[in-house]
Amino acid sequence: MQQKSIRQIVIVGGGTAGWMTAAALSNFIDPKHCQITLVESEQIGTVGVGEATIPHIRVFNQMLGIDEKDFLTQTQATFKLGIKFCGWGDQGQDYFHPFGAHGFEIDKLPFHQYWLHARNQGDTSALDDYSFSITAAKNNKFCFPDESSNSIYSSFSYAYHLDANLYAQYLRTYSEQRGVKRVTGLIAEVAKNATDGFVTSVILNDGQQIKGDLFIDCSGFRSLLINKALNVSFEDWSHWLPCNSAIAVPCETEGEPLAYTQSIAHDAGWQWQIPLQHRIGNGHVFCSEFMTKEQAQDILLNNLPAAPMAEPKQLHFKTGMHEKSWSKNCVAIGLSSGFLEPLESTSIYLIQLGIYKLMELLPDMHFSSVDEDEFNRVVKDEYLKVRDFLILHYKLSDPNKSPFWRYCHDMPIPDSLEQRMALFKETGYFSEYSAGLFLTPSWLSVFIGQGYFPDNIDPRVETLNFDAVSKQLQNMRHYLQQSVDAIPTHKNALNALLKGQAHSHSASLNLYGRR
Amino acid sequence: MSHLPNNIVVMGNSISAWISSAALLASVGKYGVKVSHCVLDEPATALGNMSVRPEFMDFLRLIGMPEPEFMRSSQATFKLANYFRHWNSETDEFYHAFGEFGTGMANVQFSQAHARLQQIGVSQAVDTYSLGAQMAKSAKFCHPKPDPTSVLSSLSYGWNIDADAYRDSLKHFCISRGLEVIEDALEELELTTSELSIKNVALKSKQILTADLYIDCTEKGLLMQALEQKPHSWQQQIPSCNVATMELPFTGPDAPLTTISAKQDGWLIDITTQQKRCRQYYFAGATAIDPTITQDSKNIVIRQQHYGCMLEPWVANCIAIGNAALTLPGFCVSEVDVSWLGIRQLIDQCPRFPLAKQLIREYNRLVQQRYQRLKDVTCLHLHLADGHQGLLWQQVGQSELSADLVHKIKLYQSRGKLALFDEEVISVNEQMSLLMGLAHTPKQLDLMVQQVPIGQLQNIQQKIEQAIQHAAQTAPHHAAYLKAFCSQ
Ligand SMILES: Cc1cc2nc3c(=O)[nH]c(=O)nc-3n(C[C@H](O)[C@H](O)[C@H](O)COP(=O)(O)OP(=O)(O)OC[C@H]3O[C@@H](n4cnc5c(N)ncnc54)[C@H](O)[C@@H]3O)c2cc1C
Repeated sequence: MQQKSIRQIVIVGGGTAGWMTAAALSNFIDPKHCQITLVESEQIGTVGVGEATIPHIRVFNQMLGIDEKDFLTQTQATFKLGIKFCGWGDQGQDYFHPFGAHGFEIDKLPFHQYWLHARNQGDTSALDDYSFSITAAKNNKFCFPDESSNSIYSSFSYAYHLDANLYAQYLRTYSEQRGVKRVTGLIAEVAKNATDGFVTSVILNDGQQIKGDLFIDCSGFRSLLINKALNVSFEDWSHWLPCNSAIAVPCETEGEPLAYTQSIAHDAGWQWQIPLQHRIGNGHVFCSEFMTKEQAQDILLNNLPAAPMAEPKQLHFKTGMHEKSWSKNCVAIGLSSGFLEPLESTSIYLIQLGIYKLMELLPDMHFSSVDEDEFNRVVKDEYLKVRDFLILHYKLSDPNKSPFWRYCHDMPIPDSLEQRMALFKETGYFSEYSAGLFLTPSWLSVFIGQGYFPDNIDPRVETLNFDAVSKQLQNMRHYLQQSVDAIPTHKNALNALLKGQAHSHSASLNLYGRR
Repeated sequence: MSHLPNNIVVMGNSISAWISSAALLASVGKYGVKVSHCVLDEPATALGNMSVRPEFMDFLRLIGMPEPEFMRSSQATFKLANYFRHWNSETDEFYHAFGEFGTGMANVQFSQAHARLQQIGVSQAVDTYSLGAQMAKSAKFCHPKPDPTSVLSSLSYGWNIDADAYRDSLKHFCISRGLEVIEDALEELELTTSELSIKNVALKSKQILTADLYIDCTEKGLLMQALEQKPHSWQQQIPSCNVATMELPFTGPDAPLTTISAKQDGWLIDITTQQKRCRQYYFAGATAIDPTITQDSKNIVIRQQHYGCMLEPWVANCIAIGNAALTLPGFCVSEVDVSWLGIRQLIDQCPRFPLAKQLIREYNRLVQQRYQRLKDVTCLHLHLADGHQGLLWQQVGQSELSADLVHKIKLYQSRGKLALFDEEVISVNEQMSLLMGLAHTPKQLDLMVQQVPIGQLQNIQQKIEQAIQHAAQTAPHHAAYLKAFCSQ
């Protein structure tokens, strides 16, 4: 069978998903072989609130050959070492979910088993005390991770807080320089082939028709192609992830920018604080069945760290995903594919995953169904794993805080999550996913942070002499603190990079560094 | 509060049994768990030679056995590859190595570059670009180098062992480390009535064994049988067959590989260790053995083999390890590998008392999934064979493939990509090179590779080939290296 390459790719949507896709595709597709066109509507605009990321974005930027200094300057970004969950913990306490591991293995047994053992014996040190990222974040310190796996400085990774609109603009310039054609206008109609139902073109309300061989649906919550045109059904997960609204407002900066995102629990949801160089991004994510828009807005405005810089913007969403992200000649990437809510800043990562898989499986004109199956299989698998991790935060919440949290606490959860929780509860043991984003350090942070302790620990550790274990833990804490003391403040590290006096090493697709 | 089991009894005289005892002794044994071993009077079946995968190095580390000692005691040779002969109409010979092959370039995977050059007929077979394959072909060997800039870092290796010798040596090793060994015959297994579990084991000598945990490494899974567990049959996917094992005249430890040859009525697996050359012949029960296969051989034993696995290898206080849990024809794993897979997971989870329900469920889920993956890779080997008419091959042709494997094959045929599932045991490299070596060139190539000028692709491939040829030529001969290494 003669291979016939696609000649025209049409990206519908110019939000973060659209421009990330355009940048990645234009980076390796020669416009002589295939023309990429991106259509966006200024009238509709973008969501533009995705501002906290996870470390994988650095791999994406590096793939595009983006200079980190230039990127930080253009997007007003700061560094992120993790998320501080304020008021989510046991009895309303705070905890961190770091981009890094806790402690070191001792005698090939996981660190957390030793910590649990010590805790059972009355040791009062917190799990957080054993994380380099958390200790650095609490001291508002930052340095680039080391490449040598023997070094303590390789036990963490970092991401960015960025201005989503500036990032999209940055990628737009990048893409246009590489031949991406940008068309503005409102798509009024999607034309399909009568026999096979493939999308043939999108028609703008001024009558302009844009034809394509492959269509990438980056139209956000509208899901213009995957849902409206191709009727792929939506799997609703709002019974597990019940927040469905958000109010966002930027405010002025206050003091030095923090090197972490804050997620502050409120009565029917939570509030984010994302420190950028020029402002702080804020938002209140809530469930409209438990709180009115006005109440939510009041809570947000009353809890801003500084004066607001714009009018609050309201957003609505439904958590879940489409049964398929790829159907026929249309691939949905970004919010059009699904949305799991922003608690762990995973949306941009899921966009990235979609882009990588698309690049790997870029179809030719035969559009083999096996490409579609593989794409959908991998994307769905990751969505399900991330979904479970997000639900965990809600499920473990204190039911006495409010009716909303009572609902979350009492709600039935997916079997896959139920089994992971039951295993940890019974034994303190984690089964690692063979492929997946959130691994033991993340699950451990949330379990322990939200007061979900195992009934039993690894019995091997229990046979050990407590004083010896305690001494080892003390040494670890001391060593970590010393290592953090030796690094610059977040602000100084940022300035050093912006002045070209420092640079990072190559990034890896690992949330926790290389150690 | 749960605690470590007070005692664990390993039952059986198989190689799995001794691997289990050694591993438990070195892991939970060191925390005070009493590990005992009940040999039972099962005849110690002659095992012949066996291949062992690279992951077995972790077992050696666990029990603290240096590699040269292991190799001396198991009469082992090194293994870099499986050498397939006459496997299908397109591939007369193919060296399928454990290690890496080729190197990609920015945005272009090696497999894609290779497929593109193959389409226009200017590429060599994939094993040309694998150092492991080339060293296996020219009977060379050396250990991999950790330095990632060295081509020697692409090597990965396992061993070919005399399983009878290794079983005996492991037994001595365990005894020397204080393992209590009971040599007796089974009288009766007493079960608890409340829930199906083993209460105790009565031996012919009237001794009664009581343990918190029993490891069933008996040939026939006697304990599992008592617990009313039957293996799930894979007859639909891998036809049952006869396996004739025999010893061939020894001509010296030759190349570091296992030879797998397709024959009209079945296939042969030939494995050479330091002093023994063994052959396994898989054929359909109804066919006679071609005399050229058994020529000059001795100690021929024929047994019927069914393939399958325990759906729940851990039931109550009994865990099946090795053949009692999984049987497969030995393309990619042997009984040694299967045993290590099972016992390693058990050690990782750490058995405890009272029995932890969730831990057992998780063990079964993970191990079961891994068994399914191994079965699929085994089926893939069989599926990639063609051009053979005999009864066993006809049965293979009629067998069913799992949905996951069908997807894997389709994706490779269409795109030259590998679909990876959770809990794969066989590495991406191995699966990919198997497909590249034995399957047809994929139909569709990535746009990225089509954009690169052919000359540039050829250039890179030539460089890889040259680097590999040079490293293979300058490497020591396997036999000499082996001798020197084992005398350390
Ligand atoms: C409250 C909230 C907080 C979030 N926080 C984070 C976070 O911290 N981290 C993170 O990773 N993610 C976050 N996300 C998700 C993140 O915002 C999105 O993943 C990201 O912005 C990508 O959006 P998108 O490009 O898919 O859609 P959008 O930004 O909605 O873009 C859609 C595009 O489609 C175009 N379009 C739509 N219809 C038409 C039409 N008819 N004709 C022409 N053009 C059309 C629009 O003009 C627009 O250009 C958050 C989301 C929400 C709702």
